[in-house]
Amino acid sequence: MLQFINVSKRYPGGGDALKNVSFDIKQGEMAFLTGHSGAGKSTLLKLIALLERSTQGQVMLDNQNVGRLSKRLVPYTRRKIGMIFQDHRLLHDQTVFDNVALPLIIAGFNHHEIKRRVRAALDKVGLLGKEQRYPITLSGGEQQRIGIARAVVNRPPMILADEPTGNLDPALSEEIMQLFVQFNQVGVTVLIASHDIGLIQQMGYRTLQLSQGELVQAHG
Amino acid sequence: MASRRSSIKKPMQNFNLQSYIRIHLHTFFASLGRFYRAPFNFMMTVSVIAITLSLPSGLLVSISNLKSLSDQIDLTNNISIFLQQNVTFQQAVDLSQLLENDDKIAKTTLISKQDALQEFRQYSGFGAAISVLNDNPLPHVIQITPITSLNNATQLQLLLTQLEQQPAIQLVQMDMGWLSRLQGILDIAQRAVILITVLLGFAVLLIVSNTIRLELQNRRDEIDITRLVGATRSFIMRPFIYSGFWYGFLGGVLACILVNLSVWLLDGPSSSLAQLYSSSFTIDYMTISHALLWVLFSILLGIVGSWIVVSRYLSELER
Repeated sequence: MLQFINVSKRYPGGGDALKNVSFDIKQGEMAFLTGHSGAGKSTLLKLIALLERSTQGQVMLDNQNVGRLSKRLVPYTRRKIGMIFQDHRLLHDQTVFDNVALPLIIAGFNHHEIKRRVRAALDKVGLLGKEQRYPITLSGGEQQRIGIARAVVNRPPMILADEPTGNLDPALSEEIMQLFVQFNQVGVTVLIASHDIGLIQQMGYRTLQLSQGELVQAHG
Repeated sequence: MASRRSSIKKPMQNFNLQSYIRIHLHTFFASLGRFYRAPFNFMMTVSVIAITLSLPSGLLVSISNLKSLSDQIDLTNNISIFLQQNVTFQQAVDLSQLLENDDKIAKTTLISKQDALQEFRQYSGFGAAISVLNDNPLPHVIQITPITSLNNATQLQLLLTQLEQQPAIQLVQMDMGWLSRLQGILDIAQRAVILITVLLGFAVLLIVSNTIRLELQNRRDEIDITRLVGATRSFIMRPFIYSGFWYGFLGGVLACILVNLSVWLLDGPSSSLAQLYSSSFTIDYMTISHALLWVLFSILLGIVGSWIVVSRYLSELER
């Protein structure tokens, strides 16, 4: 599903953000990405989502070298990845429903289908009945759930989460992690960047550890 | 899970007319909704565009009105020949006959001094004063129309000198010189208006660009987020292009309304002025085809203005 082959990333004027990183995540696998701030976790996720391109090496998604993808095809690749962010990245002038519906509107689904899928996604994250609320009126945990609903509403084969529990208390964090486990159980490939080592060890999934841009340990 | 394994769909494989139209309709109403939420800013921009465009379109309407006014006057090179005071009516008739036979002259009309006085009394407004006069101070006048092939200045001048040599003739006057001069001025003015249109069109382009640029800055987060969830370049551009369309369309319509409103305000005084000259002249409103052209021009400026800014912005993001 996802393959890094000797990937390096150097930002112009900066040091190496990633050095010769290679790993493989199989279809339907769930894995964690850990490391200190600045270890290169975000850069790695950005390479997958095509927000950055690698300086060296290949990032393969579905056996396709995404680094070689033409600009025109980038959006279509992104639709195959559900992205979740620490700061939620929600549209605050739009309702919960509109936020979650965004990927479907972009993909051109009809109104009926959008309604059905948004309700299904909100049901899954436990926010049914709050469609017409604005994100700002909901708690941090609930806002993160909106972000998750938006990421899965399009039924992408892969979910990337960048510190999804960064601002949440342990109980909420665990609830959110359980959501990812549920998605993984229905076949979605999940990669979560997090520094919540305790929680990760407790869950017992494969862990990729980054240190100063290098993959130091891959166990699990 | 079969669909999840499918490889990345190419845009053209993905193309579906129904969903394409759906996306367009969605953006169309969404862009109107945005204006509805900030009507004051929106109307300010529309008004600036309208005022900017109403200047050249208003000037064009004035010029075409002046042209139609000057067209109402017969534009052949009429020449008036004023005879000496002592020439009798019979002599004038004979001379008129003689000129009629000249192959350079198409037509002659004799206006006797009595007719001339009558006409003068009627139209000049000096009726009462003229009645006081004992004898008629006006000479007989022969109006001639040269043949149409005689249309350049040297040939006409030659005819004029030839006529002036006749002893019975006191003064030869080309009537329409001022008219062709006026038309020349109007031609220059029309060309100047085209230049002004180009300049102000450019100004409208900049107004739209700047407004859209501010809108882009305000919606930076929204653009980032829609890009993250897989929006294509055209999906992101579309609402801004629609905004440009609305600015152009409403600006153009308002400009036409402003020009016609001005015509309406000027129509009353100008037709009463025309009546004083016993002319039935009224100012023409902008024709529908002209109005349509102005609106189309304005829409084009709106779309181009927003397109330039948004595509530049996105190209910078994608780098």
